[in-house]
Amino acid sequence: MPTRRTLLHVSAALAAAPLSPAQDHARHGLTQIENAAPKVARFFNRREMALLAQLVEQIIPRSDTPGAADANVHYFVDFQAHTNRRLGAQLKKDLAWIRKQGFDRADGARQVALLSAWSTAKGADSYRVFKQIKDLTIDGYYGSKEGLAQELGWNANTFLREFKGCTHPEHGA
Amino acid sequence: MYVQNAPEVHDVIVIGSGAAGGMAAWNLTRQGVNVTLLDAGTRFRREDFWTHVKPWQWRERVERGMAPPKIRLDNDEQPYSWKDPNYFELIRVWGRGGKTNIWGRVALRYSDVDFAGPARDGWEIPWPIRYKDIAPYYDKVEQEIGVCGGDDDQDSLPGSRFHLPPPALRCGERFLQSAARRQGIRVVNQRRAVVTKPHNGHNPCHFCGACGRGCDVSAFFNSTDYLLDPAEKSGKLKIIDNAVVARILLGENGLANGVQYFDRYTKQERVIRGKRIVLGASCVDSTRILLNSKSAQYPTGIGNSSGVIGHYLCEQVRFHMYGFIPELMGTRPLNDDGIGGEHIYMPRFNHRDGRKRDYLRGYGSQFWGVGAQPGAAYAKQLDGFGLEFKKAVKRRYPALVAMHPYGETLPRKENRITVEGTPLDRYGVPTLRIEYSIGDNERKMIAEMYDMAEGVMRAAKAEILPFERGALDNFGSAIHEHGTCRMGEDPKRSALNGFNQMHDVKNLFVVDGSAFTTASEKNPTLTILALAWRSTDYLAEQIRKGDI
Repeated sequence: MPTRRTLLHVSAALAAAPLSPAQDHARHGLTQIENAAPKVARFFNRREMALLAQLVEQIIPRSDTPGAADANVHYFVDFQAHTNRRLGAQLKKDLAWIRKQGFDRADGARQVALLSAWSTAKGADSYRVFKQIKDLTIDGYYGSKEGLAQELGWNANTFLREFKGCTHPEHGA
Repeated sequence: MYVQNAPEVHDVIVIGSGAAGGMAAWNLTRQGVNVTLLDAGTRFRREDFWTHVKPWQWRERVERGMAPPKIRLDNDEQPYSWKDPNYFELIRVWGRGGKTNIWGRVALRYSDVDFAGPARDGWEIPWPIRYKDIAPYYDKVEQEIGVCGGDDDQDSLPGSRFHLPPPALRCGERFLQSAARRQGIRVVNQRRAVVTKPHNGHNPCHFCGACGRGCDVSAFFNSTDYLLDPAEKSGKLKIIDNAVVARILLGENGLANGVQYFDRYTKQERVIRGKRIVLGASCVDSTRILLNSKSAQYPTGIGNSSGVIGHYLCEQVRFHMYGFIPELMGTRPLNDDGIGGEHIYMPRFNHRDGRKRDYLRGYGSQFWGVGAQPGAAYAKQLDGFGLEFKKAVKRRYPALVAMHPYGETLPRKENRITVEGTPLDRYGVPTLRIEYSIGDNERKMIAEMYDMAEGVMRAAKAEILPFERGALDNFGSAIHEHGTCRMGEDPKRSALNGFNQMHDVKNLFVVDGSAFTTASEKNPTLTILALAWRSTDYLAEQIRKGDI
């Protein structure tokens, strides 16, 4: 049976031990991302990007955690359009339609009113436009560090010695 | 003077390097048999896997033009077709270890509920083996590769003395287990080929939950690290990379005597000669190879005097149902990664609950996606937008639960793989075409599967996300193809005997999922490993006796 002394030796050795290949690999990845270049739009023009930023921020606004525009979700949508030209062409048309509705010039309350109308018009084209941008916003935001880690509290894909699972005796009783 | 050397004749040629081919090569070499293995790709570099890349890092990398290792075969490289309107999603891995690089790791024993099922209900041919024939091999496989699980033992899911410790259950899983119990349904620890403590020199799992991207420390069974590397160290295994097999060649004596293959990249044609051939290229690719191996003796494919090869394709029917446990809403999210995938399993129970049914066979259930996930796709099914929407998503995040039932499909002749009249691939070899549909039996079972899933969710008081009753995942998406070169006792109705040996061509063995007589509702890999071990024990014995 290990003594307290041997356990302490083991702990000290683990603390001083070099990273495992997997940990080292993960850290390497982090470094690469920290050095990433600033965001640049690849598909939409500046006006379209500004409109997209307004839309995604209304769908998931800033609260005590960042909103979708803080998380650069409009750049995420831009990249999806860049890699899927069919989607991109559709989104360009949709953004033009949204501008025609006066969304980009409206104040916050009016923007919310417009989105509310579109979001409840199931079956209408305005709903399709809203739903597509909403779904892209969800993918973008809840896959971002701001949305997934800060807002939802995800802290996983790590290295654990033990998986404790549910520690609540009352659960499933 | 020109001297033509006689070509080397290999003792055993194994085709494929996944669970089936890997097991065949490992078991034969450890018994002193020389093996030459043809692999359609090369080794995947473990250090290249994106196992520990966070979702936002993944995105950044992709935006910068980086890509994770391409493990799945690109269907543009090796096209296939299907009969409209039934799309069949075919997922293949060409390269060392095959699909075991990214498999779901669920490792369930078949039972006599499965093996004796066809004999009991009379649908199609019976299995030529029973649980007692394969049980010692399940024991050996589990001890060799490491399978974690509980101490449960029931008629539809036989127990094991060799399980490694199961992972603790997540909160949502405890609620579902309890809810199922109230419905009279037993939910047990899931069994996965994940090394939850150091085992046979393999690293233990570090609970990062990213198994589907390939494990960077090889803590779950994969054919490369667990079978092929040890076999190579024996000095008895030679692997030929990038060898895309087209045909198995037949000698004048009625035995297989070689393999025609093409270099994957140079497209150069090559022939290798061998005394015995073990085919384990996965159900679908093995079938393509067999059907393309035509000769005067076997005009519809080698060993196909019965005409069954290509027919009786089975895959399972599945769907997902999601909900939220009220008691977990708004709680602090935990790290729910565990060993990746769910930690509970619902074994088949419909044969013993006293109810009379108007369909054959049965279903079990998995529970993909319980607890905090690396995303919130469920939010797309919540109405609204704005701050209230944001709060609603967050509140539900720790409370997500899921049911994912799997149902058996009956083997039907019309569900088939063909190569007749199909387009040629880049090597000039006919590609495969899949015709697949389900029938009334499956539809009746699916209706009950929906009732069961909804019943468990309601017993857990879950807020169920909208679902379309009867909707199914894509055919093929379980990646559990079976049955197209089935084993049986009657050579007129089966292609293989109970040792995976061809009835017609005695030195040709087929050891992957194509050999299964039925599909069951269970994941097949543990059974593929056990059958391949058993089959190659038989082959090694025949070689020792000089019979093959």
